[in-house]
Amino acid sequence: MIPLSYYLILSGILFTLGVAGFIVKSDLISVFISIELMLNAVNLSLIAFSHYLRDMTGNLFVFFVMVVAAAEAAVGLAIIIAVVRNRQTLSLDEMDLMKH
Amino acid sequence: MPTSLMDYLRILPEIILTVFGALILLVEGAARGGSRGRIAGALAFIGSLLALAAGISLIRYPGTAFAGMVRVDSVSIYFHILILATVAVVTLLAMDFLRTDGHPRGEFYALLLFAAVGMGFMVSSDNLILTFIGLEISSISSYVLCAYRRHAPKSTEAALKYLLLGSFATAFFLYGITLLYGASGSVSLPAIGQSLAGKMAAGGLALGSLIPLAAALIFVGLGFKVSAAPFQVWTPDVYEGAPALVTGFISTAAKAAAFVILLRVFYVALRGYSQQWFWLMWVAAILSMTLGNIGALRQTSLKRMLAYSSVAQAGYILVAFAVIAQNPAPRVLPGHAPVSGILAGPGVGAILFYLTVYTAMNLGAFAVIARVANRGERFTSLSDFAGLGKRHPGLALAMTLFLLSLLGVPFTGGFLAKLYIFQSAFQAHLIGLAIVALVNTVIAAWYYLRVVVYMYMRPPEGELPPIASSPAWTLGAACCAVVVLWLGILPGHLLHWLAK
Repeated sequence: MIPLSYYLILSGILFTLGVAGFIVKSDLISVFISIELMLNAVNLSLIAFSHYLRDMTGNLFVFFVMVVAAAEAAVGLAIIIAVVRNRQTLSLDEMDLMKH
Repeated sequence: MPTSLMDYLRILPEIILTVFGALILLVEGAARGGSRGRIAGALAFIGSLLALAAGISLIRYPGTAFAGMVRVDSVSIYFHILILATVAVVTLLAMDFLRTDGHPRGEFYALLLFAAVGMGFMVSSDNLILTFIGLEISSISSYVLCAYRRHAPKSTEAALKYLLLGSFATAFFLYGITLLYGASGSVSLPAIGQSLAGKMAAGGLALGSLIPLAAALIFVGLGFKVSAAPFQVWTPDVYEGAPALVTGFISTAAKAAAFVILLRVFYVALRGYSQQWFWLMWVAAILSMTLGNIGALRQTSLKRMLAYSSVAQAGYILVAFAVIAQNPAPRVLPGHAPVSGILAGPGVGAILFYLTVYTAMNLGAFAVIARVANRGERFTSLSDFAGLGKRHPGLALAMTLFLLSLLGVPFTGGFLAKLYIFQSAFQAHLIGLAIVALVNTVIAAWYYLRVVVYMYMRPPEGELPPIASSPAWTLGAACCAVVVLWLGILPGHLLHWLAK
């Protein structure tokens, strides 16, 4: 059996990659995908803990996380479309209407 | 344990809000012509008042519901009343703003009610899954509300930044609670507290090293939501770009609900680790107060200035959190959930009082800004407020009251709220923190009073369009003003209640 720590380390690496992508990327869609990566890294941890603890709660939690991520994606894409209609750009570097 | 009628009674405010939110969307779809927004507004107001009544009636049904997922205790009842009253006032304030700006109205009210559903669950949740879902219901509704002026580039940009950084923060919060679940084997807050305490007593945990990491991740996530430094970078942009009333709503009700989660997670579940999280609160409090106030000094947009000011206000509240960490309240017996115990600790009463006053004064200030900003929110800079005392004495007077309260001048609620926080800090021997807070209050005087000086001592600059009268707005703003004055002059009732 693969020990718990392997899953946790993998999940930590994926989460960190998501954080790095969020910070480094300037393309809106890439940033959005980075967030999804972070959420799925958490899901991996949840499933691993759930298996390790012999407890169904973690499995249950994953479904809620997926539903919430889907809702967030729906609203997020709608907002992105509104932004693109106003500005004709997908680059985060140009989102600077309110710099002081 | 099978669900009973009592379980549903304990989430009655949320049920009412959901039903009315859905009803508004249905009615709005069927209505024609001039009646469209008016019916939706009336429904939203009635719905929020009914939910408020249901929230007050919760006093008669304390306890838990749905197998311990929902906990109705004094804190959850208190914040239900605060949040639902805020929603009712925002509904009043929004009625004419939405009409003159020509936005579709039904969806605004529906989203407002749905956001309140999420906040209701946030404050009464005793289960991390429910907390997460409540947080997301309220956040996702707020993202859409921020984008409400969807043809205005600033509004959509604000919504985008709120969405991206909000989801980013959510991921951190989620990772934190996952690790907490892994280390304790439960997602129920009292069970986590007991499990951690039991395992600590038994000589350490198998996964004990995860706890500080989990606490830090949860703090990052919630720090974003309450805009505590160093996670406040999104606040100025979002608060400036979003419609003023939406800013008023998310900077008060949403923030209060997030503070309740912070309180419950750290006070109930992580009580045994208070020595560690004391420093988190201490550093965040000092950074928030200082960065917020210094940032506000050089702002010319009033919304942006109040955004920095709200970062500073979050810092004052975090001072009280540090006090709580410093004095871990008497241990709650196993199986005996901290229903009244959560209020008993020093600092908790100060947090509740501060959040109440802050909600009234901040919402009031944004209400005045929304009014002066007029159609399309064009007039939000400091120079647009010049001469307001002559042009609109009533508006200027209200703004002065709210700003003085934010500053903490005697006879306003803000003074006593700050006093209780500072007092609790001194009592807990956090002298350094209290002194930083006092110095910050002095710095804050400059930018709050500058607005008052502009309103009364500067001639109006340029031609400004007249501000249409709006009885609903006046009523809403009057509610805020009454609360600020009442808590400033006669705080006895509330304090007496808090002391119980």
